[in-house]
Amino acid sequence: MKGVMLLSGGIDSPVAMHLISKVHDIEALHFSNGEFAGKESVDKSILIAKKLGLTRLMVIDIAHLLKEIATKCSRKYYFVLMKRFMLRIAEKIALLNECAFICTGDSLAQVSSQTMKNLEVVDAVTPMPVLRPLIGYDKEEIILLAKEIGTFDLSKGPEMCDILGPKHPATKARLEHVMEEEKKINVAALVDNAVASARWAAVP
Amino acid sequence: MSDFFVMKPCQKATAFEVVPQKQMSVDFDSLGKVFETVIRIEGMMILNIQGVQATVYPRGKILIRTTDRDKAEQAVNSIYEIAVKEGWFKEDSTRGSGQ
Repeated sequence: MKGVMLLSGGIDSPVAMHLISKVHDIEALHFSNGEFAGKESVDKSILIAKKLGLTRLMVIDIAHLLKEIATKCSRKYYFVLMKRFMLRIAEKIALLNECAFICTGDSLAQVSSQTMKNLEVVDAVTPMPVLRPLIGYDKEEIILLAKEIGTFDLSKGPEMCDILGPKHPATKARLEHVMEEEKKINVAALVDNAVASARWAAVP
Repeated sequence: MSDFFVMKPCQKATAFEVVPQKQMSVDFDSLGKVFETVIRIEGMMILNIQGVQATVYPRGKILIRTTDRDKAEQAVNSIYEIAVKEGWFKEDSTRGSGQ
């Protein structure tokens, strides 16, 4: 069975990728935020993909989408809305690439937006299974694993943080509220445009 | 600039953070009329200053997205030369210190 892994330039998702790829074939997908974060995260992800033995990485720039969320929706839901978009896009990419599941590097409550309630609202956007190999890991365990597999130093590298995110994100999002926010933007068009802009980056 | 602000590299070194020595209040509307606005949302606005992105926060902190210190200083000076002179960055005595 094959799945789509959401691979960022951070510490967690490479470790999740390492764990899931022991048992499943994986296509890796990187969401970049070129306009607001620069291309450093793409460069980092390619290096990480190489370290993980991948030969290609799908890259999708979602800067426009994030701008829409940040300007038109309640900012406290920014991360939940962003993750729901990521899953929508990942689902389409999965279907196009004969993948049966999506995998992410989320671990419970590691950041304020990554709560059980928020993950429930995020997952409600797709019927596709979302696997989270790190869900019960704490940060120290993840860092230890990242060091073992050699991705930690790469993940530590330069990257701009997500400056559009709120200072105080919602921690107990409710699906009906989030869906109300999504009515303020053209979800289908944003997803379709993002999928259409997907490109494979060669991993040298 | 150095009497007024402190500039230091961001934690992950892809940007410079400029923090005013005193608590400020920023007039986003006026800034947006002079500089190209990339995005303006609650609590921040991003300006394009000579090809460099500057994120301005309401209390005067600015994040300059570049790894080139000279470019960062140029961008900050561009903002402050006009903004301080015109009173768009005003000392705000109603707020406590810190960002």
